[in-house]
Amino acid sequence: MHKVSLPLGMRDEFGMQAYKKHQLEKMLEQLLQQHDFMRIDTPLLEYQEVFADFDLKQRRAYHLVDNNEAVVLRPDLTLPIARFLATNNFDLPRKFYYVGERFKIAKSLSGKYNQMTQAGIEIVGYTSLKAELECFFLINCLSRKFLQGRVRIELGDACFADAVLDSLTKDAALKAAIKKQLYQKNIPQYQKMIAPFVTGKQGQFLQKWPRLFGDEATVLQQVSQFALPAAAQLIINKLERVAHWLKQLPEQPVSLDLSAAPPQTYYTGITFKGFSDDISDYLFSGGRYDHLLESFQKKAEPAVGMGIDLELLTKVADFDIPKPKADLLFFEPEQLSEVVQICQQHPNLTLCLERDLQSAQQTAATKHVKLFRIDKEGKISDAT
Amino acid sequence: MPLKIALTKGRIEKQVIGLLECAGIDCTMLKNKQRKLIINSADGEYCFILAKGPDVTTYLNTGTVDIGIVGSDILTEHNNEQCELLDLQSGKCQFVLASTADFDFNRPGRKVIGTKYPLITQRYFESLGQDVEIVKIEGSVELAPLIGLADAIVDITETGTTLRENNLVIYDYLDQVSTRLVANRMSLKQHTAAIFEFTDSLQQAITTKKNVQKQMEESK
Repeated sequence: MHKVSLPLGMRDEFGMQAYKKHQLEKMLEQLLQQHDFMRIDTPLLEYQEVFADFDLKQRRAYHLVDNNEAVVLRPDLTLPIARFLATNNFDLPRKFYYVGERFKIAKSLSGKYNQMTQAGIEIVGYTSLKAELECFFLINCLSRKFLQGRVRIELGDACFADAVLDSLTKDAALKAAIKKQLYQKNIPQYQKMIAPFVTGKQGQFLQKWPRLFGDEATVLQQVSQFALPAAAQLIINKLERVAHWLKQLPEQPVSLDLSAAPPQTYYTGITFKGFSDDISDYLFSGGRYDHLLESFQKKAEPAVGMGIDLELLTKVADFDIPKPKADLLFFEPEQLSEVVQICQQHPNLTLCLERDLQSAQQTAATKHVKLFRIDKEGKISDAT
Repeated sequence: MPLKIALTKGRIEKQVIGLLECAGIDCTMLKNKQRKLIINSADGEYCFILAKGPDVTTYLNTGTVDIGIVGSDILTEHNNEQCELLDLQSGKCQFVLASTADFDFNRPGRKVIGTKYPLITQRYFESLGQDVEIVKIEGSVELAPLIGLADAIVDITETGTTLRENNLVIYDYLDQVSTRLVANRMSLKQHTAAIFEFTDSLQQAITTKKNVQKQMEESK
């Protein structure tokens, strides 16, 4: 007997769940193609070096060796696209989308899967905030189409923490340590770190900072009570402007999180996430990274990207799934030429592969569909 | 929907019930739980789930509960990814390096260390620039140096009594341990007001308890 169990963190997908994901993928592709996004498929295997800037957090990549070079099963789909753009002389600006598998090894026996389907977009070459707005527009479309408009968009900025901390200290290690505790929301440790600064100009803000998230109007009202460093205030003004634009989208709740960690270290501007009050993880995550291509080429290109957790969206999306319920056609092997003609004329018929008519009738009864057979004139008749 | 709180059963559970009561939370159902593992508070605002410490982190990481009350030893050992909101300042104890009286810390060669906490042990010896062989032990860690399984142990101790009773000596003090209030990252976004209200009421209870203790000490 061969081993029948799957490697840890793997699973089979089949039946309705697999069909639902495929349908969702098709609808998503349709939406993105309507908006002039170009599909891009990169290979599952890449050199390990491609992901040098990628933080796997507490996960690991699957490593393989090819010709003495370290390769990995891709843990992310953005960096391969950056690698692709740097090496294929594409005219920019341009909008891309992808749907594919990514592999990250979770802590074993944690109940998490290592292979997940991710969809996403990359808008490359646009400096304007309109690129971010297109991401929000798409989130809003998907939210209304699949989740009754329940998705809340949360805004942050990758540079906000530095803009505040730069005014406090020049000690890079201390700044990194404060940011780490702030982003992790480890409040006892964070309070120890900021203790030397609480009597200073930013003291009250520092104490309030980890709780500065939630509904945009409330957060903006709270933050307006503090005199922030000029660079940080500029970011607040930008977030306020973007939040104001966002609210023009139909049924669109908006939040701010001023203590959120950027999804990756290479983010350089606005960051955003999409979630709903009844779902246990983020459905959408993205932001601006204007220097990402510098890792692969000399010239930087402005870029905004967004990942969509297709697994989670499949689980929670509420939409009518067209259920195939075709009637059956019983045939004899020598009737194959008639079968071709009949199936062209009657596309709702599928082939019944039972050996004899009696078995075919039982199958049709079990599936609650009609059974047809081909008569001597090559025409179909009801044999249910 | 009540806030779902995973509470580490046993010693932490007993200490936290006092704090919850001091914070104005009715714990009658929790105190009279018998063998039940899921207990709703009388006002329906909280649902307590009693679990072992390591499982509290699993529940938090999967979003099965909104809040976890668990020791910082387990949080560190399990590389906590969730939001640590408050040090409840109870269940205080300390990680120590201990062994028999004849143990030579500076002896050349690779030491064998027995512990329930391999990650914390590895980090500690890495910080000293030492490579050690770690043997994972599930219980009665004190036995390891006594029966020759390990040269020394890394374990937590509250008063040091068990170590002393087993003729073990403390060679170094590592991190301090206490009970922490941890919130699931998404729950904190979804039930912000309720979680902060719960956190603040416990913070208030800790302050009150401290003040009472201080007054009692002063009046002695």
